Amino acid sequence: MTESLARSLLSRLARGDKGALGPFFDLHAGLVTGMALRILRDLADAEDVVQEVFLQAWRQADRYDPERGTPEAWLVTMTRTRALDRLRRRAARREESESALPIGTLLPKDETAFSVREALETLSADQRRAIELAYYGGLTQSEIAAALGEPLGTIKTRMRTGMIRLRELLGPA
Amino acid sequence: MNDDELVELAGIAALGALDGAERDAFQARLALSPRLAAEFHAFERVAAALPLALPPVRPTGAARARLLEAADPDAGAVRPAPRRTRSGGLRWLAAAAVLLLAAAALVLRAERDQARREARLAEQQRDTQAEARAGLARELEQARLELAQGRSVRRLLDTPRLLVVDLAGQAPAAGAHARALVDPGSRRALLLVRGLERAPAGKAYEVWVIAGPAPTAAGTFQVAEDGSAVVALPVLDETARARSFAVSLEPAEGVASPTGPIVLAGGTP
Repeated sequence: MTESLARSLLSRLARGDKGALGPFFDLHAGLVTGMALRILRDLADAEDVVQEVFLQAWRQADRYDPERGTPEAWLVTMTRTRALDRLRRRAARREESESALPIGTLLPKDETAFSVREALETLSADQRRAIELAYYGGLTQSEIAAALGEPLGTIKTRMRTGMIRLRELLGPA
Repeated sequence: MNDDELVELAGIAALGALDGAERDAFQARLALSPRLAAEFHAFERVAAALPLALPPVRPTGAARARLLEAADPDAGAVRPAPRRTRSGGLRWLAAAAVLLLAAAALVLRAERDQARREARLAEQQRDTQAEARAGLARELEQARLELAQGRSVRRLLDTPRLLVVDLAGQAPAAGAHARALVDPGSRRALLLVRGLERAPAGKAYEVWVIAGPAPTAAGTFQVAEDGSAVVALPVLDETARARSFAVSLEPAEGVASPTGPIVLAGGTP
């Protein structure tokens, strides 16, 4: 399975085996690039983040703790941190519509992706929007409330109940 | 704030969206309360799964090469300092310093060798434990995946307009068979594959959705040891109009239009 392959590549990286880096990149580049692009809306910026994330993975593979999550989750956390840092530095220089994103050739989707999409679709549009503004936009609950012109309590409830619902649907607590 | 109130905030905290006094209180308590930490980490895993729903995007071809070049250990090595000319008075001091450094280096090397031996031993022990853990993780992952597949298949099967397309094995894989389950409404589709040989190294099977004159790439996949695969196809506009599907053998990274032999193909009459 993808995850056990990722784990074995990561343990090779942790031992300094650079030969594992290419396959590790091939396995996860689609996810990392897609996520960086979702946050940054600019392919060149996104690719800079991809570079930083995989270099960090290469240099810090020995710090990966399997008990804290899958290799994918580890990469996702690094990607989010770096992409949001860059987003804040860049200070939102332009607005681009979702459809203008240069979505490249689609890479394989697995069942996990399918399940996550299904789970997200069970949320109300309001719940999804609040969660996405926080996760991909890096906004805090107060900022989201202000941006949407809604009471803070309403936003907190949406995020909390949305996350509880996703947790129920996406598996082991 | 008490623990119950903080636990209520764990989902929001995992999204990084707490602020002000709530964030401070949450962070202060996180390291002290195992219950709060467990809740937080469970929601962290949920948050980390969110990007899996995004369409993957292939980076440009140069990105991979750039990474491998940047990761070259030699590229990051410390360069020797440029040599400087010194005045006569300082030369003696420099020579003494070199001797001292050489002595220090000998001591350091002995210590470093000892540390390396210990690190190797620790690594061997860690590998054994990691293998046991990885075995368990693999089994759990497999069980979770089967459950998720069952859920997705059931969801699709409940669709009133479900379209079932049989794909027959073609000459290079005559014994193979596949079935595409398509919901034209949601443009979701699953491909259930049986009896396909594992792709050779560097190759993968690629799915094609045929709705117009040119086939549309719908992702690559590999089969399990028993020759089976369950592939959730990306949500494509073409899927709503598709009446034919095909699978070909392609380079592992996938191609924009088919180049390799077709191994499975089929359509509705």
